[in-house]
Amino acid sequence: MARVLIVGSGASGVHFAVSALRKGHEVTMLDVGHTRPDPVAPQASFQGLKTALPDPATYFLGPEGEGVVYPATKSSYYGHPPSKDYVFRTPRAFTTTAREIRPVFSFARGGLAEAWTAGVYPFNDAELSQYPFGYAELREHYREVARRIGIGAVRDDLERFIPFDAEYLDPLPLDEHSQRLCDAYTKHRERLNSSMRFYLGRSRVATLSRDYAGRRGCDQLGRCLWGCPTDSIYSPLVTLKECLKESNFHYRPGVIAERFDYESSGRVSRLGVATEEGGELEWLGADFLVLAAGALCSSKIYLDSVYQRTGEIPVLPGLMDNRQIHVPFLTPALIGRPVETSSYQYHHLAFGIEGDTPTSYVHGQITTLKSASIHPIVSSLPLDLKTATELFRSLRAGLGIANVNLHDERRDESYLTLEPVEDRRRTRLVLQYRDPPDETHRAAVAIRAVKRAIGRLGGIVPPGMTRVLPKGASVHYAGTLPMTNSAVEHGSRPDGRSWQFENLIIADGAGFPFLPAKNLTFTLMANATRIAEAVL
Amino acid sequence: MAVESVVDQEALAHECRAFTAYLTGLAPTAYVLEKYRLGHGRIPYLTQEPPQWVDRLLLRAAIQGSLLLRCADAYARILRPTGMLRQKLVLALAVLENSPPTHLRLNSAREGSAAVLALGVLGRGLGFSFALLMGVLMFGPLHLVSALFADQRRGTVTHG
Repeated sequence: MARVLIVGSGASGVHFAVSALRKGHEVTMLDVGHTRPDPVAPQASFQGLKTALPDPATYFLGPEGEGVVYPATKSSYYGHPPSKDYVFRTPRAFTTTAREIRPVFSFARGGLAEAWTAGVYPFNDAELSQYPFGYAELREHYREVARRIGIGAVRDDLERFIPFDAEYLDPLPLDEHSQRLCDAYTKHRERLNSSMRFYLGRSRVATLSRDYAGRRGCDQLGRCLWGCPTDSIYSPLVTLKECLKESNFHYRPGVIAERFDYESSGRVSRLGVATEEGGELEWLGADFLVLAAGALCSSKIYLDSVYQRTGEIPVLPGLMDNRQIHVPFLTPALIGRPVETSSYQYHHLAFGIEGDTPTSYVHGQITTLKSASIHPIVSSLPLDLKTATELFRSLRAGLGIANVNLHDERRDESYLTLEPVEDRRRTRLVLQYRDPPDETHRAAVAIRAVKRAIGRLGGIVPPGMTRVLPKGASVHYAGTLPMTNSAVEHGSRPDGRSWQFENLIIADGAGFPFLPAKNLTFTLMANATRIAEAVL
Repeated sequence: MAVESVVDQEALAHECRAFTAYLTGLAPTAYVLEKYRLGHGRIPYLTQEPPQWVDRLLLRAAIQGSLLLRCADAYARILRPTGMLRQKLVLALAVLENSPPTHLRLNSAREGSAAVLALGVLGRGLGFSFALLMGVLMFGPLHLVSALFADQRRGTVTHG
């Protein structure tokens, strides 16, 4: 039995761990592991929380109002709530220099997926064309992950872009707004498909529509944005709890993996970990070291290891992230209708826009925003706050946001490297991103297409309110240690092992050689499972 | 220092009362007053620079009554969108939408026939236009003069 060290408890790490444990290996998971607070008033609805809690403003805005979104910022219509601060808290010693990208890091137990919106979309053969394997080699692993996490989905027009061959649960019931958009799509499908190449369907979400594998189905409390109190939205914590039941699994929170040491043959011999506060490294031996800390943190461990051994700072080209665009819209037919704040709040619908090439597919999800904070939306309207508030109340049932994603490709101009600090003893991660030369054009085309399609579905996109979010906002980082068929410097083999270090496994998005427009988390989980099955 | 602090607290409470009445038609609870006060430490405008003259003017006018507040708010939304008044108002709205009993009003949709609501929207739009016009007439010339003086001062420093 092999001794396996896994760094990180996010989507990749926990699914790698499950597969390794099932094969009987001795698995130790190392994690900073900031913990999720216990859910408050777990039976209360979104609105009910405001009367059930003794201090609701602190829950929704933070103790000093740090969750208030002021008009000085033009980033998003919804920020992360204070109840999810633990997801984004970074250790003091962890510093970065970021140029033309605003990265988000997580050192939480469960990783960034603690704050995801649960969208799960398998990549198809075209999107995997730059990978050293095709959809057929991932299919079983998608199926396995679908069984583990529980996904609501249904066959519809999106099957054209998104393979449908796992066992899925029924999807969640639609809210009135989403149902209306679906009905309009059915009526205008031919035109939308043929002249706009726009296809609408149900979101595939890792949210339970019924009780499943010991978890409760969605209670329709409307608290999705603020933290689901019942675990019906999947988080890697669910899988971590399963791992903890196994006697050959050891979870070690409170440590940061700094760097690994390796023999001249290229075999990783040990991993150095420190406490969150720093201090002396503790060295741990293993047969396999699995980097699953997310593309950025895994790459930093890799860079630090090479730097400390050789004194040279490598550059890892190919940093990718999806460009994300928010297109708010109004469906006038819903003006004056009640708002369902106690219902599932994330996207019910997804859409795809066919590109000129299969890889230039544009993916989007539609959120009908019933329990988002009011003040960021109202203060962005070009009206005084009183008028804007009253207008918002009149229009609220018809408001929605199309969240559009564009694909990204590896380029040399976007990279990760290090900057030595403190007499070269420590390092800072440096991120340099350059927008793809054609991205402005692609974004404009996508926005135009989405606006036209929303118009056809009975919606109106108000002028001047579409927001192209800064790079980094989608938190789909990938591409810095890519899987390739032939040996490359700082890359990984098709089975996830590093070309340089034979027992080092890259199990997260760092190994992705291309980033389709779809959310990548499902593929992270399936690929980590594939790698564990292949290597161990 | 103690006297100054009491004055500040009273000024904040006065603002909060004015903003709550403006946004909800209600008086603030003690809880809302406390949350508004606590939130001030995080208002970006106040942590970055001393308030500009025009922002002090808009705030002073705003707390005189709902009509002046609406004119100042309309003016600030268009010509001082990230200024002090707008940031204080946004803080007040954020607190009110998350505090009972005002959360009920702010989080509920206005229900009714689309035609009636559309007329209401039209009326509100006209109301905003009027408030903006009044705001421009009241605050525009003073804002312009203060901006010119600020430019002159900057010029003196540059060439001095």
